Order: sequence, then C-alpha cells, then structure tokens
Amino acid sequence: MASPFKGKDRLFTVGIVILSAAGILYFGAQAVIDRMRTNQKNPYAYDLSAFEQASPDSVSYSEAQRIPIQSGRLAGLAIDTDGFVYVSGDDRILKLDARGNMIDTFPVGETVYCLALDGQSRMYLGMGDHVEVFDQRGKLVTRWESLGQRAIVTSVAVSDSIVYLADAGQLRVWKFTTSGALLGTVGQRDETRGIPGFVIPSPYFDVAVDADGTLWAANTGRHSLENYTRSGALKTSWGEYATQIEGFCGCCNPSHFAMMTDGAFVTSEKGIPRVKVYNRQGQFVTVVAGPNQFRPGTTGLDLAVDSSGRIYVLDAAEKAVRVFSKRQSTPKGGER
Amino acid sequence: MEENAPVTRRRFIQTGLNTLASFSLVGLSGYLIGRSSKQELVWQLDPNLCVQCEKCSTDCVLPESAVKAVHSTSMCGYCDLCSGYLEAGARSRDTGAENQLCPTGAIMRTFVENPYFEYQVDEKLCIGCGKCVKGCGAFGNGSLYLQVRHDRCLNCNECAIARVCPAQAYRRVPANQPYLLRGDEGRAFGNAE
Repeated sequence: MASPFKGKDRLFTVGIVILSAAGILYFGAQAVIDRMRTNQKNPYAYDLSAFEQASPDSVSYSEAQRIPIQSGRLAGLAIDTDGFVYVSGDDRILKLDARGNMIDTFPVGETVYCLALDGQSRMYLGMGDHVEVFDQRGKLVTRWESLGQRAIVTSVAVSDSIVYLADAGQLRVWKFTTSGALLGTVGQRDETRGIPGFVIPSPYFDVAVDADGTLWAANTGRHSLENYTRSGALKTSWGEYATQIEGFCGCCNPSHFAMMTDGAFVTSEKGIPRVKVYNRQGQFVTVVAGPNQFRPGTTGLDLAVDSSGRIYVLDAAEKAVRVFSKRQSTPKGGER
Repeated sequence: MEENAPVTRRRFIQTGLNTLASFSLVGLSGYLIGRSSKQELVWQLDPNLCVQCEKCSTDCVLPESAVKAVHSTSMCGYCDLCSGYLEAGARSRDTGAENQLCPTGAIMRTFVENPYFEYQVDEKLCIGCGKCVKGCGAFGNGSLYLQVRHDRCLNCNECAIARVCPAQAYRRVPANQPYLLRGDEGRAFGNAE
C-alpha cells in the first residue's frame, strides 16, 4: 500500500512535530525555572531577625496584666500620684484604675498626642502645636498659645512648678510655668555652653523629670538621654548606638522613656520594638519586654511607671496598656 | 390578521439582524464616546501599600527593572546613622562597602554638617530591590520608597510585577500624573498623603 504522504510532505510534518516538541520543552523549562526562581529565598531581604531576639536570661519582667483600650488611635500614657492611669485616644482622655476599670472619659475635642499630670491631677495635653490644660474633672482650664507652625509637641513633663514641652519640629524643649508663662527653652545647640543640640529625625522626642525635678530629654538622633539643670546647662548624658540589646538601635531611639522611683530609666524603642531598664548611671540592667513580645513594626510604645515599680506600656498595635512587673528572680548582674 | 400571522423564517432572520445591528451601533457609539473621554492610564506603585518584597527587581519584563528607589528630601531626617544606607549591624558609619545596605551601592551619602548627611539615589545603579526602603521604613520616616519610572516603563497591558505583587500595590494612574510621591514633593504634585 502506498504511503499517504509524499517525501516532502512527510519532511514538513516531521519538522512541525519537532518544532512543536522543542517549543513545549523550552516553555516548560522556562515555567519550571520561573517557579524555582520565585521559590528562592529573597536575596535582597532586609533581615533583622538576628537582633530581634532577647536572651531569656536577660528578661526579668513578665506581663502581669493587659488592659484592652477601646479607641481608634492610642498615643499617650500617664499615671497620676494616686495610681490612676490616663490614656489619650482619638479626641478623648480615658481614665482607668490600676485594675483597668474605666473610671471616666473626658472628651477634649482634638487628638491628644501626649499628656502629663501635676500633683493636683491637672492634665497637660499636647495637641500638635499647643497645649491645653484640663482639671481632674475634665473641664478645660486654659489653652496655651501655639508654639509656631513647625511645632510638634511630642511629650510633656511636669515638675513642681515647671512644665517642659518637647518640640520635635523645632528641636527644643520649651519651659513654662504651670500657669502657662514662658520661661525659656532648653537644649538648643550652643557650642559655648557645650550643648550639642537635639537631633530628632522622626517625631519621637520624649522628656521626663527625675526625683530632683531636673529635666531629662531623649536626644534620639544621638541615641542618648541628656540631663539639664534648671538653668538649662547640660549636666550629663548617657546612651550609645547598638543594634544589640544593650544599646539603642536604628536612626533615632529611644522613642520613649520614663523614670523609675529609684532614678533608673525604662526605655522603649521603635524599629526593633523592645522595652529595657537602665540604671541611674545609664548601664543596661534588664529587658522588660523583648521584640518577640510585640507585633513587627510596632511603634509609639509610651511608658509610665507606678509607685510600686510596675511598668505600663502603651501598645497601640495591640490596642492595650500592658503592665509588666518584676519576676522574683533577678537575672545575672541585674541589680540596680 | 397580520398580528397573528405566523413568523416566517425570513422575517425572523430579518428582525434578528435589525436588532443585532441596532445593538452594535449603540455599543460602538458608547465605546467610541468612552474611549474619547477616557484618560490614558499608566502603572504606578502605591508606596503606602508596598511591602518591599523584591519582586519589583526580579519580575519586570525589562532586564533592568523600571522600578527605582526615590527619595523625599523633605521627609528625610538626614541622619548620620541612616538605616536605609547602613546595614543594621554596621561596624562603622562610613561609606565602606561592608557597611552599606544597598547591594549595588546605589545610595550616595554626602556630609552636610555635624551630624547631618544628605542621601541621594543613583538611578543607574538602583535595581529596585527595596532593601533601602525597608531599612528606612523600619526605623526612620519612610523617605525612601519605590516608584515605577515612566522614562523606562513599557506600560504593558498586564504589568508583570503587578501580577505577582503580594500587596496589590500596583494600580493604574492618569498618565498626566504618573507618580505617587511623598512629602513636599507629593503635595506639590497633588498626591494626598
């Protein structure tokens, strides 16, 4: 029987078949290679995992309580002399007792980014470019003048008769009387007085007063805490950059800090979220909460300490105030 | 009676064709009107959604990606210790290759005054991997971010990067406003933050 194909037709058919097979092989191989490539480990990964570990030996606090806060945005945290906890969220202040029960809510009209209380439980609220003072019942006492278009009030601290305002926009600390009279500024660059000046790359600039009533300010761009006398002279400073647990990481940390009753410091950082304690000489003592205890990317961990040494951490990502208390055993070298 | 007359095959086909022609005419008119009023669109990456997964550098159809890092100087903190420039565990704050975060050395650092430094992206070297973006965003202000450069982008009908973007950060934007910028540059350009 004669073949249905003539010689040329057969050659053409075989050629088509070979080409098709080659095409299938080529595109199949490409698909396999593509899949293998997409399954590869990211060669450009920004990996902080090596620094996101805190040795269990270095942690001597545990979370004793978590107080959920029903609010859209959490920004500021403070504790008054009676142990009541104040949280600024959206356009109101929430007052809670130490067990986390809601005591009161004070609508204040604007977003409050930071707050502090004086001995009479008057509330000094940082609202962007100005401060408003409310009494303990939540009634507006006075509204202070704007500090300028570039002002960003990120922290308030109150000593006996002086109110300090950290201004991240204008790189200075404003000093006012409790009635709102301007006394001056602190911390601006002045080589004649040996003041290096604040370097605040991001809007995290915290201040606090110690038991002597003198000012401590976080110079975040220099990774240090600076202490100023009442006359505004730089008294001392401590702190150094380190991604490791002993130092302050990233471009600008510590983002927040608070003073403990014995003069030690509690600090919190962003980038690698962690809360630590340093003694009054600025030496690292212990970890309160390591990075693994926070959601990745958590920022704005405002801090407060009560009279019994419990550390309150405002965790906006978890929408909670987290309370840490010291464990019975102390880690090696952890004496303050 | 004509109303009750049976539908012939010829009449059925005639009516069907008339209806089809009417619909086609209306459809064609709508399409032409829509096309004449529609803006030309191009692909852009929303920096607020971007998760810096590296796919911008590996999945563009161009051999060298159309996506590059850009820098908002108005947002930058001019940090000495720039987390978008230096490795997290850098041994020193200098221009040594071992300290630089960028795998191609595409970020340039210039001293301004103590302790401030200015940073610029060398677009010829940038491969759009987003490593600097991740570092800047982790600790700093997010002044470094990625954008599709329209002097390079081929504006494919189906963008190869958009197809694999895990954050679905790619979207079409008007060609006369093709960038989603941050900071003062964004405000000047009409981008709402």
